[in-house]
Amino acid sequence: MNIEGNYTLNMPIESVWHLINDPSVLRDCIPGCEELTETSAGHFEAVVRLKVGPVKAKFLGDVQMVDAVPPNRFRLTGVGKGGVAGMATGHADVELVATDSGTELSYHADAKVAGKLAQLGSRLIESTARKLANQFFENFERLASEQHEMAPKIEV
Amino acid sequence: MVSKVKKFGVGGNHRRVEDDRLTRGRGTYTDDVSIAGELHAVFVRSDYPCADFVISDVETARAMDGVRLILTASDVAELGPVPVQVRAPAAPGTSFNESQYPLICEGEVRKVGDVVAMVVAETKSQAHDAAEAIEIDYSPKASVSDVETAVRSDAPLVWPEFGTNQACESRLGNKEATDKAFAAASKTAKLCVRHNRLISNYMEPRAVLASYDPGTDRYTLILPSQGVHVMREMIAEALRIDQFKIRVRTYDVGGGFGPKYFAYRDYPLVAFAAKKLGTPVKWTATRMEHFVADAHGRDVVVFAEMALTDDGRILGMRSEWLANLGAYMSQYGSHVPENGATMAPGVYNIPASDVVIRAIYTNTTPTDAYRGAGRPEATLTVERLMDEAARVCGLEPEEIRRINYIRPEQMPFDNGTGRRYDSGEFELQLDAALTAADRVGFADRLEESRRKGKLRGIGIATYIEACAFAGSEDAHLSLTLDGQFSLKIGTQNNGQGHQTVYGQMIAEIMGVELSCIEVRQGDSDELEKGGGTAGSRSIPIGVPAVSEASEKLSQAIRAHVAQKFDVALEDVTLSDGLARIDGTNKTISFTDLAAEMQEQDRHSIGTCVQPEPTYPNGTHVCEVEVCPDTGETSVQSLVIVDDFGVVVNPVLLEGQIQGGVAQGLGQAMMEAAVYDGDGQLLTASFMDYAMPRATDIPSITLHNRDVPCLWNDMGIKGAGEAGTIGATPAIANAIVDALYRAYGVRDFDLPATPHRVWRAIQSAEER
Repeated sequence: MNIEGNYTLNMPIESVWHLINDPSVLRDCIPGCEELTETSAGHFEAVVRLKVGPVKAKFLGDVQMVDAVPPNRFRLTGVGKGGVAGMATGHADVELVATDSGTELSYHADAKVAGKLAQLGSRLIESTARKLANQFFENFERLASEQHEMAPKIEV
Repeated sequence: MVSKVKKFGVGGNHRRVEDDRLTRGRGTYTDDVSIAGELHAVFVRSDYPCADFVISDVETARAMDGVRLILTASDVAELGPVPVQVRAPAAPGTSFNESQYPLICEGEVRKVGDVVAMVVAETKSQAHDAAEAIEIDYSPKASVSDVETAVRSDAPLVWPEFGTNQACESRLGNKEATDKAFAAASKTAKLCVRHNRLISNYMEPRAVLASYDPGTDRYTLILPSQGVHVMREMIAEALRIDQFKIRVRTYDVGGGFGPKYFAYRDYPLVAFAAKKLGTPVKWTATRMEHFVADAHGRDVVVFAEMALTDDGRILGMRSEWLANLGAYMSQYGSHVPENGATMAPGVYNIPASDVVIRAIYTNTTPTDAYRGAGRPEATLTVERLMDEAARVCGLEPEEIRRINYIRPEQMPFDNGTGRRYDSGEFELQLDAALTAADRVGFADRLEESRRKGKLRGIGIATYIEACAFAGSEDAHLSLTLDGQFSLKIGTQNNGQGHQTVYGQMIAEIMGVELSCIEVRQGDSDELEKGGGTAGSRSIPIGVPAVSEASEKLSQAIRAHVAQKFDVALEDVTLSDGLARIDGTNKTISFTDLAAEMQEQDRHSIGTCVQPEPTYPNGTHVCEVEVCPDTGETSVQSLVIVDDFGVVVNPVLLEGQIQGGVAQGLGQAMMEAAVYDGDGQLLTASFMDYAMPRATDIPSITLHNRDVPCLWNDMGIKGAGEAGTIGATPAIANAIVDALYRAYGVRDFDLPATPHRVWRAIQSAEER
């Protein structure tokens, strides 16, 4: 499964980079995220509750940020174990580009699912994944604009 | 017109006595049976098609509420593997690579759904919770799920120790003669037929309730089966104990169709757990589990070729079968395609045949016998190839068939691939079918469809199949002390109506109503041996045995009465529930007779020995309509003329054919088990695996043109799988005919879902 998308964020690239590397921001933005801890630099463990079609599960995720080129790009690789619901593995390449009005974020993700997720959810997983990605960025944008307003303006 | 409908005996039209109970929800299926204190088993299954694994934590699960037992591979090292029952013969110079089918995988899984552990707990939900708490670290490896990839030299190996994915290779016919036929041919027709993988979705999923008695050191297993004796033998082999230490009982069965004939891992494992815990243990498959755990059917790719003369006479036929075995060799896994391939020439006089059957391992659920078991593959291949040959030779499908049918005077006929047909009048049958289908009116109907913007096609298939494979069955009939009749027989009703059919034979001979007859099946302790129900054998082999037992018992009863009243045997008749002396008003009831007669005289055994299979055959004519814009295809009509030899009960026969046709139509139109490129089963529920519904099934016109079987005591041929075997190729040929007329399409793989049909039309238009 391949999904991709892009978002325009109304804030400077450094702020985006900073926020996206903040575990507490990620925890608040990832749909269904119950826990997220940074176990070592760039290495996160998460507990996420999700529903894909008829499959509901608690996923234990293990995500790593690799090949980071601040503030322009990074790759997330990870695996999510959903117990009897199956598993998901995949990676996402994220790219940030500074624009006049803020930051253009684009991503390209490739994921594989196994077990019940594949057996029951395969027809729905792409649209669910897209929906979750949109939710994430909506949350991110909202949170970012709140934080951005509170934070002292940084001139770039 | 027949003035009086016959009720009992051969040809008796009695309605099913089972239905009242079954359709009111009063059946007793395995899951309906409970023993107080029973525990519940749940299996931990692999999410990966191929992976090494380590169980990193089982103790957390073991400590959870209600958990009584967790089994992993090391706990059952003394058991298994799941036995193979029949193996295909390996061609000279080829090796036979038999997999080990472990009860629980040790360190390596080879398919999605492979068993990694079993949990037993006090409740089902406790077992599920504990199963989820078992931590398994998988290291996924490359997998392969389709045969065409699996035979490539760079394919991942399911069993690296064999150095190949090929399990075995068998050969039928005469290669040299076939090569000569092709050298002499002026025309050839060629086709690749991919037989879609099917899942036998019986209404009742499998289940087992096992208990163990330490006093007698015996196990009792209640499970749905197609025969308790075969099951007992297989489970004993897996448990490595004497088979008489096991009692297998089967109550009502909600459909079998082949896959309920086999012993799977779960039966011996649940029995083992029951012994270990000293408590009964039950397991019932969920529908999703059924999709990955029960044997699948078909999944064979056949490359076939025909050598022909200019005027359409067949000189030879060649085919190569790549049969997908799945990850393990199932009970009849390698035998099914090889046995099916013996029917490769179909109903045609083909002087030279050369068939190679290669069984291939892949990272998928094992395949085994399902509704026809190999014969549907043979029939669909040769019938599609006949239509292609007709196109190559510029003949109509019925013309090329007439030229090549085996003629009645050629019977018995050696088909060149190991089968000797006893009878069949194929051309007369075709005539009857074409008349009933109004073949001459097709042109008008085609025009009418065109006016509506639709495509229309007509398809013919003449099938022959092998039923009632060599074997025997004993029928034990008793006059019981309450004046009733009790039959014990080792076939197994799966819903077909054995109680009705066997009952009507006894009723006719004993002169009693069906309510006085009890048919007992499904208890391996009650009967020493039995062949079960498979390959349409329960009528051809069961009925003659029941008939003989009834005649013997009738003779004993009449002899007793004759002696008692000092009259001739011929003067004693059994009718209307009494023994009577003709010409007098003397009668005696069966209750009185039972009390008077010697114990041994009240029991009889009838035996039917079937030396070689029977060969039911028939012609299906189908018309379909296709919407070229959406690809939506509907079966407009299906006319069938069958030859079943002697028909025992026409009402039940019609039911068998209708059910069989529904399954054949499912294969043609919608059913397909699909694995993605990563070996995940994408069709693991009714959301993605389409099953035919009532509205998909056309009204079926059924006729019989019966020629009694020469190889059976009563001339019966058997009919269980016939509807499936004939319907799929007739529908397939009708669809290809519609697509060929409009777009020149000759190559089309089933199932004919709207998307596939639409795609075939699109790619034809692009060309």
